[in-house]
Amino acid sequence: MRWQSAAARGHALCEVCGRLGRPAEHADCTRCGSRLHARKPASIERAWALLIAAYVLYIPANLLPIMETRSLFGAQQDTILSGVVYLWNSGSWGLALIVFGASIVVPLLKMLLLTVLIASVQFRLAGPALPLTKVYRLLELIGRWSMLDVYVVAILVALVQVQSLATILPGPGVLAFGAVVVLSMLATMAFDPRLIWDTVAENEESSDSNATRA
Amino acid sequence: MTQTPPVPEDFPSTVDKQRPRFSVIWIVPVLAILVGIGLAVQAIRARGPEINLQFSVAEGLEAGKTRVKFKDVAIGTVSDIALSDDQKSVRVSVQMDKQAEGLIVEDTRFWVVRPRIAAGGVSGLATLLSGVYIAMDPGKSTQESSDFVGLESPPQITSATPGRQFQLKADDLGSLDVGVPVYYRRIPVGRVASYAMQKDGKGVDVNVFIDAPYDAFVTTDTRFWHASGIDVALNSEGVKVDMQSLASLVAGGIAFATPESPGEEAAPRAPESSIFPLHQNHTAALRVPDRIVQKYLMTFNESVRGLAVGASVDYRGLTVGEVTRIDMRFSREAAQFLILVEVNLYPERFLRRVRHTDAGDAGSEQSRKVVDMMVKRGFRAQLRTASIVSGQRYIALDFFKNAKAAQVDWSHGTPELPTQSGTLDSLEDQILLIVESLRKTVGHVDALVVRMDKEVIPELTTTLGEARQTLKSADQALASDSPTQVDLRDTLREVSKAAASMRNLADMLEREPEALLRGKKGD
Repeated sequence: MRWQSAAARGHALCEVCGRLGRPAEHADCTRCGSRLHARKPASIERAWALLIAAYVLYIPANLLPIMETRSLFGAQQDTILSGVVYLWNSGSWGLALIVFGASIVVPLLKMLLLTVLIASVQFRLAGPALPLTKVYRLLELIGRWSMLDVYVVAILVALVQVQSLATILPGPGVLAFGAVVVLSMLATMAFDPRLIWDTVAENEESSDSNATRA
Repeated sequence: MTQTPPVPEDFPSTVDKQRPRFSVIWIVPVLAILVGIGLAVQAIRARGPEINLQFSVAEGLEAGKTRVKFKDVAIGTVSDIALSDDQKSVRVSVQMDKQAEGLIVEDTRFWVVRPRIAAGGVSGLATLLSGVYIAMDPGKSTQESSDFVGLESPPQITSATPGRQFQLKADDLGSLDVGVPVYYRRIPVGRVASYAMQKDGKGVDVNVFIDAPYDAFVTTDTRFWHASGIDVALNSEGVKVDMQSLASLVAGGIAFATPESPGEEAAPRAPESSIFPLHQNHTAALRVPDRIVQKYLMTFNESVRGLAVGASVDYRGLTVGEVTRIDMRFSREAAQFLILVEVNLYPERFLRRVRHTDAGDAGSEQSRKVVDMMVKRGFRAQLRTASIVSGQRYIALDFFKNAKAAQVDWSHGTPELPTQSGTLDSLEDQILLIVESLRKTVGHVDALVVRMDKEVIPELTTTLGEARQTLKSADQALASDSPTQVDLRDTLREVSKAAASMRNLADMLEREPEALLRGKKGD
């Protein structure tokens, strides 16, 4: 065995005060009294639940209008995709790409990557532990960029309130979209990346024991 | 190798262990699914039928943006615009809302609301800013449908407008147009909804819509007429100018009225979409319609110049029929062409007070008897001149006491009335006679003038010369420097002197009356 995890040795770091403790002896931290966890509790289960909820809400987020524009020239409801199409058609390709990336690609990519991570841990696919960790880092990096649309709507609704001339109202899609982003972030948080390496350790252990047996 | 210490039972597993119980966290996806299902159900329930409209052009329409409105409530959105299969029109797909269900039936009408300027007014101005929308008028049918042909112009009448529609049959459209008002007692109470050529091309059908509550005034007895333009009538009371309104003068119009006939119960209300004739003017409209028409033939052996189809047939001044045809016929017995005139007689005009009598057709036994009897008493047709100036002629029916005996010829399909040779011929003779005697009179006058010229005038001239001389000498005698005048003046002077002496004498005698006896007192 080339390396051992703290958890494998029965150690756990207190998440509050940082004292190393042995949960086998004391369930709570001996210094600050916080509950000791070797890994995030029920990590896979929680991540799955939040991720599934995010997937479900992703559908109405894209189908429902996120913004209703009422002006002298009539009322118009826009979904995210119709906004992107409008921007693309009106020549603002760069803006269209940014909105498309931030609002459609990034959340979807995030959820798909998270799915891969959780699935690999659950089904103990030990192989690419390093790439998976990189994926996790990427996940944390891009997660914060996916609320762009919600910001745009929030700003526009606050700004454009020229009553009889033009008003912009948030549509139900914004709620769903916001929920998708928040849920996917929570799912990322619920996922414990150390589990990736736990699988690796387990596999190595079993192969070692196989080797000794052999 | 280091020994791994035993892991206690309650220590969380390094690798995920299957937990027997359900974690609270699963409420989140369940909630999300419920919300999702809820939204989906809501969306599906809000979706109504999808329909296809056919328009000639898609001007102003935009997929995903143009709304379908009913009573100004958006109840659908245009989802797609494409050319129709035959590429001759535009197919507009519309996703209707749930609330539009039941409104989309076979006779529902759709049209595009655009700004429009017509003689009747301006409409759809709001769409200048907001863009066009598709308006609809739900039909009354119960048969649902999904394919419609859109109207090119907004219908004048929507099903929501209370009132009734009637059909008018006119010879021509005149200056009418869709939207032109219909007047009752000069109040606009409806408008022309549509018009169409009759299938045989022999007239025009005009559909008019009368708004409630005025539609109650349309009875089975109501007359409609063209109220376009000015109606000028010349009668014994002078010139009468009649017009409905200035608007109708420009844009045309239709008026209606129900003639009031005392002693008769009011006619019942006309049922929806009853058919009425559209008369040319007020007078024509209020004429009692002639339901019974009897055709008669008349043969004239004289010129019918001035007699036209449509000329009136009258009986002692009352018009009782009209000329419908003027023809020629060769008569073998007379060996010449005779003028054959066909007339329509309206026996109802004789018998107006006696409605629904069996005046019947000309062939009925009873009317035959009556006509035969009348002819026996001298009932004849005669050509008369209505106006010497225009030469218009009409046919007069009258009793002629000295008429030659004649009979009605019932042998043909159309009975033939005997005729009396026109008054015009005798009139012409008389006029000729008058002209002749006038000419003689003029000759006499001429002779008289000549004689006066020859005999009277010279005498008159000499008499005048003498008179002038007399006047001249009188003038001379009266001139101030004439001897007569001078003499006269001298004489007068002498007389005045004599008078003065007389006055002196009188004075002296008054003072000294004795002087008369003794003589003048010596001074």
